[in-house]
Amino acid sequence: MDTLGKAKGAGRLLPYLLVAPIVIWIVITIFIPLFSVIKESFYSTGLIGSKGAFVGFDNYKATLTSPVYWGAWKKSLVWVFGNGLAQTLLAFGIGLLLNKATRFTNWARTWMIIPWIIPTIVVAIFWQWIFNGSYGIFNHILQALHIIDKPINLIGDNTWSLPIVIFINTWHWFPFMAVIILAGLSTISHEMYEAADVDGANKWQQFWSITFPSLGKITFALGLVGTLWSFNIFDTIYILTGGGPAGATTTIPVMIYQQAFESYRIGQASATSIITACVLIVYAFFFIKYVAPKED
Amino acid sequence: MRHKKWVVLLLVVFGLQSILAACSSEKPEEAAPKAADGVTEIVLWHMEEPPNRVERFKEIIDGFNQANPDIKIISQVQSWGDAYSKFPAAIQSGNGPDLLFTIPDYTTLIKEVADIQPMDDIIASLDEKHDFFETALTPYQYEDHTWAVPVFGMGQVLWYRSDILNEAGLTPPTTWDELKAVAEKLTTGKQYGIALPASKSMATDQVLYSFLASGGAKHIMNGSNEITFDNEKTVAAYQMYSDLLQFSPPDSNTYQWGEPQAQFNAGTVAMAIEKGQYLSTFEAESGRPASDLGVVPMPVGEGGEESSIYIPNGIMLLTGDAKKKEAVAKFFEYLFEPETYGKFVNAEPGLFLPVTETGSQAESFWSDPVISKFKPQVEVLMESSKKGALFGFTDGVASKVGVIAGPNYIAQTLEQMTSAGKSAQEAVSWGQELMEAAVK
Repeated sequence: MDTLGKAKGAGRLLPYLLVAPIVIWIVITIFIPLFSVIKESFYSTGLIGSKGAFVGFDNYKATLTSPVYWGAWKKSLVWVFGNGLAQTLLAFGIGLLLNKATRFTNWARTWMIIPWIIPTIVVAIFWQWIFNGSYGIFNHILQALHIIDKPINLIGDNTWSLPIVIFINTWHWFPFMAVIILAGLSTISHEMYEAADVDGANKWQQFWSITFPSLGKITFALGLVGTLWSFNIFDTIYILTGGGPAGATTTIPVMIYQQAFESYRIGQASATSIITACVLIVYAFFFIKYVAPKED
Repeated sequence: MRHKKWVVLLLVVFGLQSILAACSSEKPEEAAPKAADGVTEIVLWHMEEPPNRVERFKEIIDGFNQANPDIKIISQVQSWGDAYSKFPAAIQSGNGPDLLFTIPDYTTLIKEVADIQPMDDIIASLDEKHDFFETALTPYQYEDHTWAVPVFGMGQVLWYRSDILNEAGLTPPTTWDELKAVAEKLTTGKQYGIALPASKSMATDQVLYSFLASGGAKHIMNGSNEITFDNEKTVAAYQMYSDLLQFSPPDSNTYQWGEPQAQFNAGTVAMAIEKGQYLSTFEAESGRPASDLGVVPMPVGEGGEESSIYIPNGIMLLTGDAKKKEAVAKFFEYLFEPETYGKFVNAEPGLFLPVTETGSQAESFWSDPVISKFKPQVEVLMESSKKGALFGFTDGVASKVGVIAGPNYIAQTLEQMTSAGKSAQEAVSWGQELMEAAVK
């Protein structure tokens, strides 16, 4: 009886032991650094590795009262909204176009993902070359067509830099969204469209009554993950502009990096990170609560 | 069945143990390279990544190791990109090097997190034999000690394409007004008078500082970390820089180190202000003879002096071990011997300049093919470097200069003019406020 009891106990323990490695891994890679960031946010730590003094909520106050922080939020919102809009339109357009079984669409489905699989650094370098004010093909074409007299420097322009970086990021990421949407489209039964045809519905009505509602769960997931993903993009912006000119492309992640590794204010950067993370958690909560598709 | 479960359990426990073992921190003594009996091992980190520099440094170190079988210098190539974000933590956890390459503002930062050793004895001995240039040594001397041994210097000058200036019948400028006039005359069609970086970068910081130094505004902060940036001469320097940007290519505000040089070699621009890296690639990239590469000291502004930025690169000592210190002293003796030192400095001919009198006269320095071909240009570089200055190290040593240099506040101030539309005075006042906030 005792042996049987022990065996049952070990059997109950086994599932926990099996998941233990991943739990420990998560604790080590997520929670320990997270608690370290929370701790640092209450200290005046400068360079990584240096010892700061306890400053209470001073770093939080400094971030919340900083016009630079709220300016970066404005740029982050433009960045997220611009990317979201452009990528959604492109991805839906391409997804609908390629949702037909022809030789061209089979070929295009494969080649369409190329921008997505190119490493970010390569994307940044070749777009920098395209828009280069001295050698770039973009200026060359505009000058050849007599649209401009002198080369223009869009990436270095205060007004144009953010839209151009949004364009480049959209070009890089829309294939991923298009592939997801295409996968969703392929699950919609053709019989529904045939029935709609019989009922006299035009393509526009079919899109809004059949296609769009059928993709509800996918668009919800893309909306949530895509916005958070997009918000946190750092590499593309930093490589292309470094947050410049004059802070025109300094989004929140770029600002946090600059605080931590250029201004050597780890404590301040930690507080900014925590505040931003809280805002994003609140956003995710409300997005899930109000935008999640309702189960019929 | 039960047996199988226990096997699974054991595997899980073993796996967990492996994860924890991998995550545990290594003790410093375990992390250090194992030394053979009687051999003192010194780990040196340098951040000169280009293969030619790595190869030359290795040659020098191999030569030392062969000549001193009881000492082994282990050279490890690192990145300047990691120097600010990863080195302090590595040093604090006991995984740092014994010797670390540095620049003056980096030393002030590292000094706060690591136990840097004074190098007074080594410096005194070397100075007696080789005579260090004052401009190379001063930025490392404060709090009654010398905190690094300068090993090479980098100074800025005005490079010009003599073929382009000759064709236009112009002489190289010696003052700011002449510089502006020449740049204006040479800006025609697809050619620009000068290439100036105007991005938020160290490249812009440095060229701009050459204007501040030559315009009489070299003291941007003092030894008490007080910001003295906002003054008439600084405003004049920014105004001149902004004026000159009219004669620089339109993408100047994305330029860093490489672009002005590429434009210069392509003949698209006639002048550029930079360090000596222009020598080694000029003929191959421009297709022009060495004589077409002209150089003069940085032109002088009204009320200014002949000066430009000068950055002495050094090596810091991070170990207090007496035996290692002794080995390090021997290494520096070897490095600064004239027959070795010239070869070391010519790891990047023209960019790295000697920091000692004996080094500047060494046959091993002048016999390098690039240096001997561009001898007149190198002489100008050498003379300029003796009059150089470095921000934060001109009016005492500002221990917080790192927080001004890191975010490129000098360059950001220019961006306020070029991108945000501020006047020179408004931009400089903005820069002063930013710097004051940073050093608080």
